[in-house]
Amino acid sequence: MMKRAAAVVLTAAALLLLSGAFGFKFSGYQAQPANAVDPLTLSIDRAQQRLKAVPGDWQTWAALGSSYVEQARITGDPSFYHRADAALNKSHTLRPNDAALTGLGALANARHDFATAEGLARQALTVNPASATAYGVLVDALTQLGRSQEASEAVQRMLDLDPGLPALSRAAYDAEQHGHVDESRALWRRALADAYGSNALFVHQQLGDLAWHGGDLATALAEYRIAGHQLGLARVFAARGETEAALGFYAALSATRPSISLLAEYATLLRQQGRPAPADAQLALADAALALLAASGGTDHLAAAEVAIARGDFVSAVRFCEQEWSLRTHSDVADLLGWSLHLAGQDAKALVYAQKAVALGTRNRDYHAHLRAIEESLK
Amino acid sequence: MIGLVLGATMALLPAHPLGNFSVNQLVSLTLHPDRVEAVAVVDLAELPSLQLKPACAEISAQLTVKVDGRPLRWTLGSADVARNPGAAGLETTHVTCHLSAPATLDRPASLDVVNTYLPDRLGWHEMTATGVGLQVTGLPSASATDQLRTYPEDLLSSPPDVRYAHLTGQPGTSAYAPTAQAAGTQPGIFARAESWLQNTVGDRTLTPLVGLLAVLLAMVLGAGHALLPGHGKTVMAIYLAGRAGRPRDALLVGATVTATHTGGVLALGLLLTGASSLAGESVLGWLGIASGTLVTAVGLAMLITALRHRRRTRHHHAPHHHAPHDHAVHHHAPHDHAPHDHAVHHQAAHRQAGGEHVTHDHAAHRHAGRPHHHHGHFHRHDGGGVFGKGHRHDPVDGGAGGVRKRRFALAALGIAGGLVPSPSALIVLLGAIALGRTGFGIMLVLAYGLGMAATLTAAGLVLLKVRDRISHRFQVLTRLAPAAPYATGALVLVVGFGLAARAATLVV
Repeated sequence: MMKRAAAVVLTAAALLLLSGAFGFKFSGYQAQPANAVDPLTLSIDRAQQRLKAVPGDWQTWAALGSSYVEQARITGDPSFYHRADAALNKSHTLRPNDAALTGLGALANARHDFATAEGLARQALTVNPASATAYGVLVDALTQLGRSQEASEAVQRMLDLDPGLPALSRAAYDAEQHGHVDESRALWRRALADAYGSNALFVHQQLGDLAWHGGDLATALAEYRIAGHQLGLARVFAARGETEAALGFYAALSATRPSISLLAEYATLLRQQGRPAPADAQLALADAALALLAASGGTDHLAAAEVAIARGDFVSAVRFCEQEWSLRTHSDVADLLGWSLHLAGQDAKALVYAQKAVALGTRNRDYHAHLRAIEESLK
Repeated sequence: MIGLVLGATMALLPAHPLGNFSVNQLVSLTLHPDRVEAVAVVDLAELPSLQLKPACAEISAQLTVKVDGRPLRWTLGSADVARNPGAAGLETTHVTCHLSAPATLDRPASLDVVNTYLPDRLGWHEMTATGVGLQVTGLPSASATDQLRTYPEDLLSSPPDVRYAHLTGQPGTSAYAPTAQAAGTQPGIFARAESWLQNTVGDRTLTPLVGLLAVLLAMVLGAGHALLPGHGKTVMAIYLAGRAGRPRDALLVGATVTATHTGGVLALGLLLTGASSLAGESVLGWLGIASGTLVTAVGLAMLITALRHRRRTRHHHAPHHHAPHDHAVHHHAPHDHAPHDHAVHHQAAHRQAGGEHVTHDHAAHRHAGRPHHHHGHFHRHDGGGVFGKGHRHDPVDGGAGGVRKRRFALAALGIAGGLVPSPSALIVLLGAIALGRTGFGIMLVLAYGLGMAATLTAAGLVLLKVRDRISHRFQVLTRLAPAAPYATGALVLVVGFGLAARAATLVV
């Protein structure tokens, strides 16, 4: 009887000791607020977990890298580009594959290196001719390079392969470029049906842009509000003359997402309001951002031109735009080059580019306003 | 071409590791019995360094610490602003603020920490907490970034975004040392072999020679994996030592391990391939729990049978100092007589008619059906051995039902040993599936299982040999023989619980 009792007591004591020795984690800390709603965050979490278990899984490395590119685009946090780069290269090193090439292409697009992006997309398509994602990268690169005919063909092939949100959004943008605004809106609406989370916000932002380019401020405001798109809201308020509200949005963006174009836009509005000192402060910041971009091996002549125009240095603006035009002939570049030439007093030359900007048929309100102003001063 | 392109992208690194416009923050709390000290560090990348001049007064105003609901009032201590060279000839700013506030923490307390300084700025948000003479839980104790000076480049975790925390503090020295992670670190040579194998599976060209080498290596790795803790080797050892274990028992365990491990890895591999949402670590944790539970159940069964058997046979233990000729003595008593008597008497007893046995109660139930089974190894009688192994009273040892039970127990131990898959085998299999080399992957997994089985079987056989060699030298222990079934049962139970508990820490 005693032995039995002793055995039970010993076992119990040993169990207690063990539970201490094996160190139960009674409380952990939450390093990441769980955001299970957003599909992108979710896919990043899953990929990270998966790669901790299976570090050699090159397919998931490629998916993670592409998700990081998306994350950088949505949050505006450039540190994700660095991660994307490393993850995609890791995938490609483990095993050369089209998904990694496509991701690197998307990264090159995000960094405005459109020629590289085109090359990478074409390499990916050589490996996998049925990759809709690779066509997406190709479409973006061709569009930005100003090769709209090739871009439209690639969009069609992408739609045939996978008529989802990525293909629909490219088709919608292509339609807008050609002035088919109604078709573009219908495509965005179709895309919205299947989009949720950050994807839905993206579509609303695009619908806002479409309305903004057409001069429909009320619709633009409504869409930007749904999307929570501060830059759009700032522009709409500035256009409606609600300058203080606009400046508030610009100030918030300048503090949290100081992109070069944004700083130039903000400085321009400040200057229009007769506040040169804060305007100069924003331009100094823009110069620093340009220097940082150059130091990291990147270039953005168009953004540099915007800063030069905001400063009133139109000659430099023309030079920057011409540099960009030598790289790509997108209508954005044509418009800004024409406008810079006009500001620099070269209206005859300006007219050529302002006409190129609307050559595809776009109904962009700003482009047409620029063109009218140039024609006016030529009279 | 690809190389050139990749090289070009590689060069485009942002100046600050977390981006040119990040504002990175760290709050390090040190809890004393009479006060809370905080070090608030803000690391500004190049652009924010042009925009902001952080002052410790602003930073401390946005750092709220409540002790049991009452907010602390900070007193500013020393402040340090360092400007460091950044990219493009610009500077980054590193601000360190020392804060202190009186607090009553000489009794258990709960603390809430909220950092609302520049909430909209992107960047690394980290918090740590330690105690001096206090035990603190709720936050890691050390900064991962050396106070925002070096940022870990971990591609598999996003930058932390900790802006609030709930802490508990209680008097006492910190017993909450970061425990070593569950076994998984292997000697360098194993790690290198594993990575070679994983790369081989991914290689585009796979020659037969390399394939053969890979299979052999997989066996070695499997054998090595079985050497790591957590495969019920202890349990098998206790079981075989405490019971009348035989070489074929060790083989049975080995075979079960191979079958379970191979099947388990294949099933898990298919599962993980199908659903990428499944986190590998937690699955391993659950399998570990299952394995531990199984072992615990075996231990429990051993204890219960021992207790039951004891009730049935208690009267046999009484006649401990009988004359040497009493057969019962050889089988039940603590064997305090000289060993040489033993063998002689035993053999003598054997030569007698079986009727002699039958007249004994114990013989009737022990030897029923297989009268001479145990006497084939008469040497087991000389001395009793460690924990009285070879003790004929093992309830699961006797009779056909006992044999079945014991096979179940051994198979259960084998399953427990094979249930926790070798992570390396799993990676190899997943890699092979992903590359369309499923057959090769399965072959490698099988090799892993065989390697594991070899280790476990060899361990069992060595153990049996050692036991038989040295057993007669430990006669003192034979006094403990009657307690042996409980001790082995309890030990198996304890180890099983321990395995399950350790695995549970992976899941919790």
